[in-house]
Amino acid sequence: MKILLATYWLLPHVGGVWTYMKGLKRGLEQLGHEVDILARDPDDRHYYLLNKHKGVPKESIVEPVRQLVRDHYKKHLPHVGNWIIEQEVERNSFELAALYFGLKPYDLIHTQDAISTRALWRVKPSATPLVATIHGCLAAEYLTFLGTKSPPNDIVWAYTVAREYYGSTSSHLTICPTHWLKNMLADDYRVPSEHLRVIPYGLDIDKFKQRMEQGPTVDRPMDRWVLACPARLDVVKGHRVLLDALAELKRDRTDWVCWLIGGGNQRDALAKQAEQLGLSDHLVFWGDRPDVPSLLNQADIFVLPSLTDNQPYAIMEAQIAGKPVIVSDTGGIPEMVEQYETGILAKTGESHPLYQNLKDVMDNHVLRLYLVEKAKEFAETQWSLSTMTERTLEVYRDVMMGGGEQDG
Amino acid sequence: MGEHHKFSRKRKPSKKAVRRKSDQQAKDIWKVVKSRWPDDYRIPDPEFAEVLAKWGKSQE
Repeated sequence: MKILLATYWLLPHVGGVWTYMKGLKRGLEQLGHEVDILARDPDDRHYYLLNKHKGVPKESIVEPVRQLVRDHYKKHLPHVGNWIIEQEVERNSFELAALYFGLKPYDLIHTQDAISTRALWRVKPSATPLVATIHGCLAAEYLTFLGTKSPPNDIVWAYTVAREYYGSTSSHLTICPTHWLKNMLADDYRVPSEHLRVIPYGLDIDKFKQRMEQGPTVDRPMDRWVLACPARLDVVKGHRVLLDALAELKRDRTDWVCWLIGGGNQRDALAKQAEQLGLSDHLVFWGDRPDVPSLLNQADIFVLPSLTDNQPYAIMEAQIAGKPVIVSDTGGIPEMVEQYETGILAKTGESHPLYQNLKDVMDNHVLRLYLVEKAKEFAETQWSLSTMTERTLEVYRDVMMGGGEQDG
Repeated sequence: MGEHHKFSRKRKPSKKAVRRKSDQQAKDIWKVVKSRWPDDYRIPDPEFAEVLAKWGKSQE
């Protein structure tokens, strides 16, 4: 089969979507399929077929589309504001970029987000099956951004909900990595449950282990515990909660250092919080690193205090690496971690239970070994790339045989 | 040896020429895109426009 993987995300990027797409491409190619990737380039200046280095300047499509969209809304719906208009311009432009590269050669299109799904659904040849994978909920992230759980009664929210709905239903079948995401799309955004299928992520475990064992690129302190938190420095990852937990830990013991692996817009705010809490000597901000597997391999404990998350690759990698996993119980994480078996969960947003779990694992050698053994055993089967690829191919076969929930 | 090589220095194109070339390239791209629009294709997406129109009416 010739398959197009498409996303509105900038690629390559540091994050789960890119890891998933790389893995799926590799898995499909190992089985003899041909795979192209359509995305925006990291500078957001071109649309391109990433693996073919074939691009088109974004501006040449966006400018005329902006004119058309603006004229329409100005004339017919003047109450629609600029933010929504620009979102429409972006999606309409992406669909025309897909047309520019041509969609006819593909036997199947597999989109990776709500925006590219709606875009390619509108322009694909009618007989071409389209499968979507939704990696997160844009509307839920918007609420997190607003700092509320109650949706506002405004036009932006109406638009955001519509984007979630059409972005998940404009396909023959939509894959979610977790039941948590599936239930949210079905319950909160009226996506028919039978249109959604859960396939957990997988990764190339052997390749990850090779990267892990590539040798230390930095020297770890030998006289202190190393706690590793590989996550971009974003509010949703909950670093502030972690720092509060570490302040509590410091009152008990000082024989540790915490590695924050990842860059992001919270860097300065976190450094300031660390200073106020007297933690500066106990934290290392590594920024974005190409050697995360090697850094993780050198750590003693993995910690991820996310406020909202779906199925973080970081947890899968920590379980494979044999690190005790201490995480929050948000989103899809409880589907990855069984309490006191394959890791330890703490209530999301609360620093004291997180501190308690860190302390327990540091104090209790038997518990630590148990968690590591159980997690490794679980990870080897649960997170296998070949399982994910096989299950994805089953979905492809279903929609190609007309077994999708919706006809195109 | 003894042959005299002349290296002609390529003149840098003017800003105006660069802009003209890029405008022409954009026009060509848009022409290709337009020629591939599906029959029933419309900009903007009518279903989103309908959602936004309904929201507007609900506020009247």
